[in-house]
Amino acid sequence: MRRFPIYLALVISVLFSAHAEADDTARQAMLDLQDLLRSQTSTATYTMRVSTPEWQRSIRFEAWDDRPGKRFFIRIIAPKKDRGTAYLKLGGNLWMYLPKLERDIRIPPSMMLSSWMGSDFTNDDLVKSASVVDDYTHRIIARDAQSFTIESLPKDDAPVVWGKLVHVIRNDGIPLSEAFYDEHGKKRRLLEFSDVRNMDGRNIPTLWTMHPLDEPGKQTQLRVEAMRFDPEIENSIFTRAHLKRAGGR
Amino acid sequence: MIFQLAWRNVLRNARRSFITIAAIALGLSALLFLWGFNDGVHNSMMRNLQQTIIGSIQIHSDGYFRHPKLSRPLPDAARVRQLLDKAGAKQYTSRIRTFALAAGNDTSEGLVLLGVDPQRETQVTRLHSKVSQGRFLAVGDQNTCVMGATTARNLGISVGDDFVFLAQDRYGALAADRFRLVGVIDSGEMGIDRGLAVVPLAALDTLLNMQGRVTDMIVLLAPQHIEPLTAMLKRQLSGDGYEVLRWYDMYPMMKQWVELENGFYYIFLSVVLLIVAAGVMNTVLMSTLERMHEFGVMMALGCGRWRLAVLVAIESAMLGIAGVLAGMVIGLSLVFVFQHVGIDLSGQMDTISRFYINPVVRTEIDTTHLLVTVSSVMLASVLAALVPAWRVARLEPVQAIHHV
Amino acid sequence: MFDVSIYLKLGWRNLWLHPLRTALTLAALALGIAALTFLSAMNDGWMQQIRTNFALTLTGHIQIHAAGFEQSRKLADRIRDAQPVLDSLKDLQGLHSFTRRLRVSGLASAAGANAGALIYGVEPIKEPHLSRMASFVQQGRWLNADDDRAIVLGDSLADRLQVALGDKVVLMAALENGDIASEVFRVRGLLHSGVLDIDDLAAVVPLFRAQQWLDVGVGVTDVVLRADNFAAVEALAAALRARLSGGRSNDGANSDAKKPAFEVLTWNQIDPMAEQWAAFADAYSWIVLAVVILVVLVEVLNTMLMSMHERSREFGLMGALGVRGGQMFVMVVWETVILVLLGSLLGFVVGGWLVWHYGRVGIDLSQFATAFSFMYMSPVIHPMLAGESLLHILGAATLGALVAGLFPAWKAARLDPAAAMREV
Repeated sequence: MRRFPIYLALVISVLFSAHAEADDTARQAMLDLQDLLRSQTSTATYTMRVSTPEWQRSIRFEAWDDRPGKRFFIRIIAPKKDRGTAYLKLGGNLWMYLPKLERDIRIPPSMMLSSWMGSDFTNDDLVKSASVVDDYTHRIIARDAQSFTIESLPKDDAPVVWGKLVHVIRNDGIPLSEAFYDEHGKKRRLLEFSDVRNMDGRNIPTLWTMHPLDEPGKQTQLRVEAMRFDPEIENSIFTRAHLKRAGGR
Repeated sequence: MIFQLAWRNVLRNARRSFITIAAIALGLSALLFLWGFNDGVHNSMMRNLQQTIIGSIQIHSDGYFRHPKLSRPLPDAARVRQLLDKAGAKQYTSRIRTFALAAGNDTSEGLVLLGVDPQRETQVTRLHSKVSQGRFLAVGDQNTCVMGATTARNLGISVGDDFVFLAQDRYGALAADRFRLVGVIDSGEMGIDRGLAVVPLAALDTLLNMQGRVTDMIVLLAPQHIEPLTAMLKRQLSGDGYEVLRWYDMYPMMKQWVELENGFYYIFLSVVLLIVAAGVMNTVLMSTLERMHEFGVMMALGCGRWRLAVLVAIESAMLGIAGVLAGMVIGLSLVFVFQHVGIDLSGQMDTISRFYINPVVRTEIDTTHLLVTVSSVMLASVLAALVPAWRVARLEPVQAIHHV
Repeated sequence: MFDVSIYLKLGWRNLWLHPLRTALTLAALALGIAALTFLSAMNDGWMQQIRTNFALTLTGHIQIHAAGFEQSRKLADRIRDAQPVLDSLKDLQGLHSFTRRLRVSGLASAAGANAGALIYGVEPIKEPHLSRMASFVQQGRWLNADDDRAIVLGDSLADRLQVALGDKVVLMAALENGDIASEVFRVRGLLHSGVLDIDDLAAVVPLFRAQQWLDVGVGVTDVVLRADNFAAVEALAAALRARLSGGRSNDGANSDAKKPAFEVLTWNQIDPMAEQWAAFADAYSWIVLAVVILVVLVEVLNTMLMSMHERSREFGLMGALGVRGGQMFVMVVWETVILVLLGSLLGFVVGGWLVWHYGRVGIDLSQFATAFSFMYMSPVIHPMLAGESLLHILGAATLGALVAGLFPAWKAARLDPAAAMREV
């Protein structure tokens, strides 16, 4: 009986090698998806609406994203109370700037998994978003006339909490949904993409809705108001000094 | 008739009676004094624990104690206050409790952040008396803070310095504001010195966007009121999403310690009880030995052996009652005297006061402990007297008369 | 001059003249001594248990850190190279065992939840010689030598993370430079200690994995020592301080020589609370024991007095036959000495047997108190005879019993023969 796992591993590796080609296609689809939504660099304006059964609030912000440089910058425009609050991601670190305090604070590990601005996205989601392609192995598990489904399983030593991700992508490359499963196969979060529009010459979904499935009635909607792909972004944007300057306005 | 005879015998042998009564009285009063000491220490420990910060009862929204989430504040604080007023509880106060991060210049420390009403808080808990440097929060304070000494040292800040608190507000968004350290607590209690900060309720309300909501209601009560009030609150608030927790539901360790020590004590005292009982049996047996001659004569004069045995038993019971009464008077007086004078142990343990223990022990005794002790001594002395009575019942008159 | 042996013989004979009375007095004495022996052993056993449980649950007898770590608990204040410290442990007197640890606070997360955690990187094989952590594992197993990304979690931490054996847990912590690093582990064991801080927070992983993840090279935060026994702790700590203060500075850089590179802390310095609790409980028990000694003495005195009282006729007769008061006194004293010695011996044998018996099986207090999450205490007390307190108890009791015997002897000597004869 003790040997059983070895046989199992053999069988699984044989199965996987048979799907090697499919893996490459799936991985490429994931890369394409990332390229579609974030390109190399981008600037955008978003409105985020968080709603719960008790309350809702909305936040408008601008974002500068440098994907290859693993850095981005976010500045809150509205509501007035939060105007000037800014976030800077540099590599694995996230800084927050508060105009009221006129200083920036590095988000400590204990708060990385806290919600970002009260939404159903965590601070960690902001920091980690680029590593999905490399942290998981991807495989196409279904395909029909309209769309295909990719199952992403985390690599053994990847520091990710999810047990499985399932992406549904239209055959033209537009994403429809992304589901987050825990290790026991239970769906915990569902991200839906809708309202495809043309932004800066590309068709992209402009309404992203995150449903945390263990909190019924709660959701976060992220609406892309404007987006520009591959603009020149100055290096000085991604500095702590810029946090203060941008926040001052 | 037989009672009068027994009574006369007890009085006639004054010395013997005195020795027996003294044995019982000493044993009982020693037991009562020990319980008084024990209960005095334990009760003051428990009182100090409740008065320091946690109160006797806390009321939260259901589940908040284990999993504090600001999105679930106390459903209706006004209603809880009304219930408390109606029940006659006077010492209560409300708080906001959350986790926060204090950020100094280049370090940060996670801690429990309490928003308290400076005026009401000082009427309920004694946190303000633990401030060793600077001052406690005052009415009218804006963004002021009192925190544990270890946390302040680790942050590298001292009284008068500014720093930033970072916490998630009611909507889950990160909120931060600048606070000024006005006081430092050095209590010796690790949970307070490291990992606790207190700010004015109004300031925390603004920071966390609570709009008047609170998370904790803290009530301080005399021990005998804790259970009835808890039951009443649970009944009134049931089904409406509240939790009513007694101090030991939240922090069971001290109650467990007290229970453990009481268990230890019961063993100790039952051994003492055994010694007392053996002493009583010894003295009564000795006195029957001594009175063999007398018993022989009585039997020769026609007194039945069972009658004699009953006589001895009644005599013993009388001595037992007298001993128990004397023991109670002496024991309770000791407890009473040391309640007022106090037993000063500060020489033996200089720093103990930090752990909720007063170095001057004031004795007091729980009713249960009093009843258990008195009745077991009574029972033990009666049982001990049955052995000699049984011996008397088997006496042969001729032998007895010849017994020297 | 009388020969002492005459009194001895006389005393011995007198004792057997009234076997029942002698047996009663002996029983009173023996019971008292046995009770005191037992209670004192119970107390010592308890104190020992508090200290042992406390020190060896997690803390260890002695911890060596880089100077300042106890206060800051920051990764920056770590021992960058433990080798000099380990070298200094060579042939130290009274050292039982030692191990290295890397401690850091961080965040544990799983798919549904996250919670703060105290992360311990430990040496899987050496750790069980020092702490009881391995013995607390209630589900799954403790770490193996060849484990890599294995983790043992406190049961209520696991509960909050909603994970079970085999599940994945991601740990996050800040590196020395403030960057955040994550690492993934598989749950191999769940432990339950009854100690809130451990069950709520502990996340135990292999040391080398923690070192790689936290990018500290061979650095550790603690070198933890266990002494052969509590008596050896202070001397061991002093020897270590002397050896380590001579060494070079911690980070190898030639910083000012006055600042010590290491701090050597004993278990009671790390948490003075435990020692003070023990000290308080000790003072407390001595008050109780003192009262018990008093009760025992008075009972013995009572029995003796009664026995003398009963014999007043006999003494009166002896007085009338011309035995002098002084002779009577010496005779009764010798009787008492024989009685007390016999009684003490008997009591000690009985008490010793009780201690031995209950030391083995333990006294279960769980009917008085159900759960213990405090002071690392188990509800089962194992009595233990400590030489010192035994001497105190036996000395006090024997001396007291002798004094208790002298009083009746003195009374016997002062007896007026005529009155004594009339007494009964």
